[in-house]
Amino acid sequence: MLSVPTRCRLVARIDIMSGQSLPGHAEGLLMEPQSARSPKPNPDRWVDAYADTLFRYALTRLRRRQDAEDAVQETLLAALQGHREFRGDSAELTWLIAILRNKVVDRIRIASREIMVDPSDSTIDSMDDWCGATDRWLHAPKPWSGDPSKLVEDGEFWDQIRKCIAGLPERQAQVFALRTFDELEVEEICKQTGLTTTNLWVLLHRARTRLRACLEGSWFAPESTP
Amino acid sequence: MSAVFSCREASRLASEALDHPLSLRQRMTLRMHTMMCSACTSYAAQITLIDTVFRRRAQHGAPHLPTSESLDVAARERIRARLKDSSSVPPA
Repeated sequence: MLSVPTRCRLVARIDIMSGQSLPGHAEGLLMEPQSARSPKPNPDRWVDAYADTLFRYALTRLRRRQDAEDAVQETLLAALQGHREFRGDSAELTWLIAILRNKVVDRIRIASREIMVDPSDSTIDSMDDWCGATDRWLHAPKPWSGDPSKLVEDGEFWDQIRKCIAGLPERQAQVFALRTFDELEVEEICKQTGLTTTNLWVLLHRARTRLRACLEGSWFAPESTP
Repeated sequence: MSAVFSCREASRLASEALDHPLSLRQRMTLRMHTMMCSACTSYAAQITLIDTVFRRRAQHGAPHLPTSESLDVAARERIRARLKDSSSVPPA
């Protein structure tokens, strides 16, 4: 996800191979008008070009518009202040998303202090999933059919996923996004949010269980039983 | 079997398998359970499917849920103004 765009790699290689300084010589290849090494940041352009992408990124993880707007603002302010540190070795948007991810995780960490998760507290579990003390499925999962490569392209499926995620408790939705969208390792999420490994596993298990149940009810038609 | 090793426990292990490599003992226990329990077999397959779909989307360069939501005009202007204020002050 955070790979360096081909263009940057290409320029870097030419630089090394030719042994010449880039300006002039490789001008034709440096097509990006907003050169990463531009001495002056252009926040207006950031807002035009990236604000919506950053906002959607934040909204996916924080869910409340106000929180997402604040995170975008904090990100662009930090980018403005830290612009000299931007070395141009990644695309500008990738750089901004990296800053935003830290802002989002900061918010999750602060919220994590306020809500502690007790893994033994079964009352947090969806009552729909488990049949009381027997620990057996109340509504046993039924087989689905679905091709991941087709589903990933299916807009209606994602609409449904969004509705299901909106129904998750906040903390579950946040860690689920960090784990699946950001592909952060468990250790990294724990380090950044202050959650214990056990708490994180519990949250992820609950998130997956609820999401699964929601999708089964709304998207994957349960196989009819004669 | 399910009295010894509940579906709840099996589903927990199936979920953890997506987060860290299970121990040999955990793998054996989970397998013995799923051999006899079609519900937990479905569960494991389904959370894996969901995980895969999300990762594919993230890898296609869209690190957010598809949405038509965008910053509203007021928020956009607020951010723009805030950035303008900030850029007129030299960094400390």
